[in-house]
Amino acid sequence: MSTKSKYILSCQNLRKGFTIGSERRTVLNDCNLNVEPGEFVAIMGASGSGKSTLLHILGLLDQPEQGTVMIEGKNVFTISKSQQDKIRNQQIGFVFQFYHLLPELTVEENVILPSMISHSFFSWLSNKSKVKKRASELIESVGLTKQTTQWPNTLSGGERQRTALARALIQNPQILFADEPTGNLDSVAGKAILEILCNLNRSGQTIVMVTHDKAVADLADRTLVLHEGKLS
Amino acid sequence: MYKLLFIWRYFMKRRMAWMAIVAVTLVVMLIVTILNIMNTILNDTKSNNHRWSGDIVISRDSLVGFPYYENFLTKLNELNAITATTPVIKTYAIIELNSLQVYGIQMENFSNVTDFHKTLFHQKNSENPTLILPENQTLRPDQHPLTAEQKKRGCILGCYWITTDLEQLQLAHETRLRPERQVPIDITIFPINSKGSLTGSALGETQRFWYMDACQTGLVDIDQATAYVDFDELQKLTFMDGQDGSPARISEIRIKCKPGYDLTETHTKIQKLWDNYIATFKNQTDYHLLSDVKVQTWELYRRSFIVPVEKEKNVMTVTFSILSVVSAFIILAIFYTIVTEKIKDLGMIKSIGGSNWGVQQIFIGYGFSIGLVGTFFGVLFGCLLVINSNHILDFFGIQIWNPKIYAIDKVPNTIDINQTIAIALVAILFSTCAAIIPAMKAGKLKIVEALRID
Repeated sequence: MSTKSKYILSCQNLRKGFTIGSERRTVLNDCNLNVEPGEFVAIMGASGSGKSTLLHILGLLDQPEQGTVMIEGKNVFTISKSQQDKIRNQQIGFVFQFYHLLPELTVEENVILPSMISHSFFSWLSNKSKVKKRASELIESVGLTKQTTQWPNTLSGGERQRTALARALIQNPQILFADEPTGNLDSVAGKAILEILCNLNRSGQTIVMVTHDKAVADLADRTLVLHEGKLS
Repeated sequence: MYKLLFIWRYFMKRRMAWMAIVAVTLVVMLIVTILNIMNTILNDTKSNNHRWSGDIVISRDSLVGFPYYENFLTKLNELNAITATTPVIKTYAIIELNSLQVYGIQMENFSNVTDFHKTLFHQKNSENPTLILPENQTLRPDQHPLTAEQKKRGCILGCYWITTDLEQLQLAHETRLRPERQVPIDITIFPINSKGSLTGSALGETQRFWYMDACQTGLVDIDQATAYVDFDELQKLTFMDGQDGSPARISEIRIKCKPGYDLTETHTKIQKLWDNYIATFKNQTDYHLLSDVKVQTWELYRRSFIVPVEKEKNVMTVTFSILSVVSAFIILAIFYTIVTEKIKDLGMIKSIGGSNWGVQQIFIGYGFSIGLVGTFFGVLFGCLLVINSNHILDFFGIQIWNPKIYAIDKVPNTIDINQTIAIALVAILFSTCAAIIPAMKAGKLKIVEALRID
């Protein structure tokens, strides 16, 4: 189901809760959000308020109990699993607080992995050089040219997060989700990541970022606070 | 493409995968070795029994034997399906106070049916193998004067009656055992008349034979306690030649079918022919000697010797199949551990668009490659072990089988290609299947749950 919308991302009446022991805890309750193309939105909230859960639902990593998520006017939870996989692969980029690099792959391989997933064997053979070129440009843009062939366990935290950022951008996603991207970094490395995000946004990249740091949130065009399951 | 990359990287970087490969290699090597050896023993047992028995045997389980065989032999030789027949006399005798079986055979006919000449040490390549010594034969000096008749009697002994060192025996036949150095063998036989009573001399009939040759049929019961003498000689000594006025008797008729003829069909035909034949003797007083004669295929005739080997092979196959299942569970456990360790990575792959099936394929492909590599080395080492088993045992001075018990002085080292391919395919299949359950677990993982795991 696809309708024309001025929002690149929107969600309506999202509800999500967890059962911990015998206690039921609702973290999202009629949560609504609209994001315009090119916008940089920061979502703040107290620890355990459901910021990451909201981001996971928006990024198709989790499912809501109720409500809709529209990406470019398409209700993403009414489409097939394989179409959802495709959206995750091509329309969304995700940067996690703990990087989640794959330890068996080098920096370059981590970066090109989303592109490898989207290609069949033969299509990969014919597009390999193009993808590698794009990957090396991205690696250069995040300042990791010397680390291209290194394994993730030899990188610093900042380098790992920059690798994760390059991986999130390899498919030219419409939306970049960042879940506490500087939460696990020192101030210098965090600043470098934020600079890259701001530059990306200036070049038209839509970014939805979760943070609990007011200074980080101030870099965004709009800051929303998640409180009692609702964004305000 | 990413699946191949992950399979390769998991393969090269996971030590646990190497353990799984070692497990597969060892099990495959063990199964290839044991089953090839057991299979060769079974095949050799069957083929040796088949060769020595001929295709079909007409016999009676009694030392008395059965009469009226001459006309039946003529009838048999008229059948299209039959290429050769031979009468055999089987009795028990004493040599140097040891008991043994003595077969009376017509050398040429017996060889035509059973390829007996090929089992001989001295006359293996002779065009006319014989049990009759040549007339100009110079025998060892003997204190008793010999008649011309006595000088002709040759005797062939089962090789293990003489020695277990067959190489020395072969050497002796090639170098030292020239005709002028023949050894006298006194065989005492107890003649039995058609009524089943001892006849002739109460102390048995002792005759001097001359050792001519040794034979190795590959059948332990035959090679360690059997002597072969001339058919006519033995028939006379056992009083089965009719010298007591009763019809001449024999113990067995061995039959060889023409190549291409169906054995079961020919067996049925001969059984019918025999039934019709003996019906004409119904009114004879010695009809009872014919009525319990059995017409059997070689497999039935030697069943008591083949079945234990078959059972042993089946027990081995079952035992090692269970071992294979155990190793499949070990591989399953290893894969399960790998999946558990890689849950976060799998969640990550899914978060960037990897499908459930794609993630499952990584693990199924991983299991397949472990199976493939492990099986390759297992087959390689197994075959090398089988082929070189005798060299290895010789090097360490180990003898696994006592030839006097097993009729095997060497480990059978023939590789059954089809069986080995079957083992390899099953091993690869098992390894792949062992990866399916963890792969399904990996496929069903919820992304968020996977990523939350520390």
